[in-house]
Amino acid sequence: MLLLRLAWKSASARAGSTILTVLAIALSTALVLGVEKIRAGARAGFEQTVSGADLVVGARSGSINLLLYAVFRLGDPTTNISWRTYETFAERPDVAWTIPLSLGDSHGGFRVLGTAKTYFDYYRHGDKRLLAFDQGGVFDGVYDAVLGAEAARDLGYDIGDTFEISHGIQSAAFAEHAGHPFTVKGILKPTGTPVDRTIHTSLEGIEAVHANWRFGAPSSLGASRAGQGAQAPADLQPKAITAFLVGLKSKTAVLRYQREVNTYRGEALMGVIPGVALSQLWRVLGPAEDALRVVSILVMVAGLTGLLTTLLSTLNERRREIAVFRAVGARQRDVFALLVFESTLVAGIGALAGAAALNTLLAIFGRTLEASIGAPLGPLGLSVYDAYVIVAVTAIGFVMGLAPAWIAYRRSLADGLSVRV
Amino acid sequence: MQKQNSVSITDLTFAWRGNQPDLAIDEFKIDAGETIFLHGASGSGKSTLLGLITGVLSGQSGALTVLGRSLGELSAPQRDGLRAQSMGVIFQQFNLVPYLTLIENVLLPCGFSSSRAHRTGPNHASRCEAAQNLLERLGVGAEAREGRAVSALSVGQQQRVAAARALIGAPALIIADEPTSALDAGSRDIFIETLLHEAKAASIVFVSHDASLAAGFDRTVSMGDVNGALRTGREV
Repeated sequence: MLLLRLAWKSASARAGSTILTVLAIALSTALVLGVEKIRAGARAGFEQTVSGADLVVGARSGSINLLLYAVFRLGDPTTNISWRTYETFAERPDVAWTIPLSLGDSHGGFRVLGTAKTYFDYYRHGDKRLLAFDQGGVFDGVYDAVLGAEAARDLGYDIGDTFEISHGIQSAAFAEHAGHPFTVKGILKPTGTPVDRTIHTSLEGIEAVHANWRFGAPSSLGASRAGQGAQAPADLQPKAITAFLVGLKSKTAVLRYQREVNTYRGEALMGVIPGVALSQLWRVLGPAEDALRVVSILVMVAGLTGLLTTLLSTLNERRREIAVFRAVGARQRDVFALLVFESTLVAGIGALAGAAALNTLLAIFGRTLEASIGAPLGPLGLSVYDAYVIVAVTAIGFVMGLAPAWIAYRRSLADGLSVRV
Repeated sequence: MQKQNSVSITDLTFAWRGNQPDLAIDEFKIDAGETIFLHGASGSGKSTLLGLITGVLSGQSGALTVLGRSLGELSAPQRDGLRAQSMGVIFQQFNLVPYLTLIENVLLPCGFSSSRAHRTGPNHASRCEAAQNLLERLGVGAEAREGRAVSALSVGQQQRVAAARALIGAPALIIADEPTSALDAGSRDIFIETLLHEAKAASIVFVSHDASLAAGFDRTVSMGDVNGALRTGREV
């Protein structure tokens, strides 16, 4: 008790160097915890995005690739699958629902997704939640659009506003699907998933703007007709889609259904179980995550080495104090404990301050950060991992204190009663 | 109750290194309440002797009894406990812990010995009062009341606070290792006078190389006479 008080007073008497040390430890703790929060958040975000669908079906490529472009709207789709194939698999008796997805266009940097109304009935995110509308409702006409929360906010669109979409992912002005203005019919509530950054239209709308295209570019024939206004062409039955999500009536049918997709003779298809593809993705990302973690731990080591340096550099001025403590009856082990307490105290306070600072920063800037990295962060507050890190940093502080404590202990033995200044 | 000696030394030898003893004392006794003026040149073994008496040093051979306890039979923590409980130590300088208040500095021994704390006062408030009173009598009461920092005191004032710490809780033995060497002549005399007056029943070992200060003490002892190691050692 007395020793703890003395250690505290000694640390606060050297406020300058103590604060710097605490700061270094706080920063490195915040970094370690922050990296973990982003990592866990990204994982949770990915996992939240795919809740509900039993299978993702698309043209045969890599399972991670399919998952990324179909569900997370990352990267570019490779090949389309035909509408007939989609119908074949959608009409199987064990299918509860399907959601067709047609990607490849964009507006203002946001991807345009052509889909069916089933999207709003069956697409689930997070804890099996359905999509909810903030304003308006489901698209009805061919040129109606439903905007994700973030897309609507960033573009500044309201119900009734119109816009045109362009071919490709970039918002470059070339290859505009001019003459086909879409009208905002609904705006979704935020979900913390890629849905927020998506512009949804009907498949017919996508078909309409591509009606006169051939092989991914406007046909010379179509170009002359492009300016004919937003008149919906007569036959808007989509000929192809990018992928589709499947919900089955029974979970036990998943593997059989997947096998049938993978062995389908009409077209090279592949069916991916989202959870399985995700764990493959984590395996791929594992080394990168580890590298990030190693870097943050090295920063932590640097911070804690600062603590050791500070303690060692104050040993000389402490020599007199320690002689005084010995003279008034402090035992050798008290001298030892004094230094260990101080380093433990500084490390512990640094770790707590780091966790507190991180949570404060996330509480203030978390939303902005989530938007810019496109994935939700972990929840605020202390997780088990956070507590573990704080305890570990404090424990390392304790171990770091052993070296100067040992030196002080040896010196105070050699000094005897007098202080060699 | 009859108390024999505060310190009793017989055939004591101590060597820092090697076989040649740095300290060799055939016989040296301090009576209870006796004040000793111990003088000797530097290197005469004064610090070693004080280290042994206070129990900070150990490894001696021979008999060393302090306040009725044979130090050779005590463990290091027990010697530390005896020092906390019954001794007061004043150094030449740097006696005070800079980040503690004057009162906290004075009460430090009470933190390491509960019996000394109880002798000082029944509770924290009364101990603070005792410390304040002692500081008043030593002439640094005002500084303590103003909450002055240690660094804001003159060397003389610091030494008086150190004396208060040595005296707090009425220890039986006070060791002062050249406490006045950093003071000017005037404050030096006042310091010694106050120390002797306040120590009352305690034995005092007052070390100085300045023989002119010996006047107020019961007995003057020269290290050269006491330490046999000096006579044999110097001839080699």
